[in-house]
Amino acid sequence: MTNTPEELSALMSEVLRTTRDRITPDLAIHKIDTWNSLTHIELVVTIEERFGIQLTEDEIVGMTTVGEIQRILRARGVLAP
Amino acid sequence: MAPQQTTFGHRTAVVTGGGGSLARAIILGLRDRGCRVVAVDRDADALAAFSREEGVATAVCDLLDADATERCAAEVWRAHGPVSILVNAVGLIHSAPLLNIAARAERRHSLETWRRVIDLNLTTVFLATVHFVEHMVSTRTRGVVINFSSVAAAGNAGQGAYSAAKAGVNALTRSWAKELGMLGIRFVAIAPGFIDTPTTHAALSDHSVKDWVQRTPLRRMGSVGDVLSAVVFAVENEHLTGKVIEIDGGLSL
Repeated sequence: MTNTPEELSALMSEVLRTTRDRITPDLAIHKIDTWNSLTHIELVVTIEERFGIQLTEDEIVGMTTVGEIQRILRARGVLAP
Repeated sequence: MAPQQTTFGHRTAVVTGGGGSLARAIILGLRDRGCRVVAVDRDADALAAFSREEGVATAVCDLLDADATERCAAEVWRAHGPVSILVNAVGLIHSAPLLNIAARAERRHSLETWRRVIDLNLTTVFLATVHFVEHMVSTRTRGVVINFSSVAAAGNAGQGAYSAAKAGVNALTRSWAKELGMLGIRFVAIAPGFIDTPTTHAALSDHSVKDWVQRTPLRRMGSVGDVLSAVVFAVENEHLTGKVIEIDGGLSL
């Protein structure tokens, strides 16, 4: 199932407890207080559940910005362009 | 008709400190419930007792050596994985006061002893858990880590280092439960009181044991079966995490 970028933004703002306008492609882990190594686990689990995939270790480590997350999910074919 | 025993399918369980008497009961108890069990201990001779036990594999590893523990976890995972039950049962009961004012020499609790007690009771838990749980996380294996605490975690006079180590075990159990609950990995501590094992009798005088029994509402030492039933409960109750189960006959009340 393919999800829209807007759905990913909504998911991330919910997990990172921040407003939707802050979820921009250049937003990076550790650049906001609520995106840290612990909430990264929550982000991974939530993305896996909503998108119906299991992320690899390399993908999880590579999820350092919103833009990278979008790129990874598009490469897996679960995020619309 | 005898009551049916809980079974855990063909899950793989790792029990550290496998050479100890309590660990042995847990290993055989989990094996009897269908688990493939890997007993880990640094003492190869102690593990030799399992050589004729079907369903029990062994791995010699010094759980204070980070590199060796990492290799052990990888090898166990490769040979027997996925591991969904880890029981951290390494431990050393030790009694020593902060200051022995009756002595002229060696009055102070030694730093060497402090480090040994903390290492064996707390650092081994950290090292085994970090390496086995890393595999659980990367393979999305849900499961449970059971840590051995003690009633001493509340602070026993004359057992400062041991009490501190076990309080640390409780804190790790709660911290890791919060960190990894989302991945379906549970952490439970079991805090036995005085359990009737050779280790307890070796660590405490008969007088001391009788004194503790007198202070225990149920007026008896616990058995390894009492502890095993707590382990089984911790494995089978999938809504239990971050808690310390006290198996102490009411001693901590």
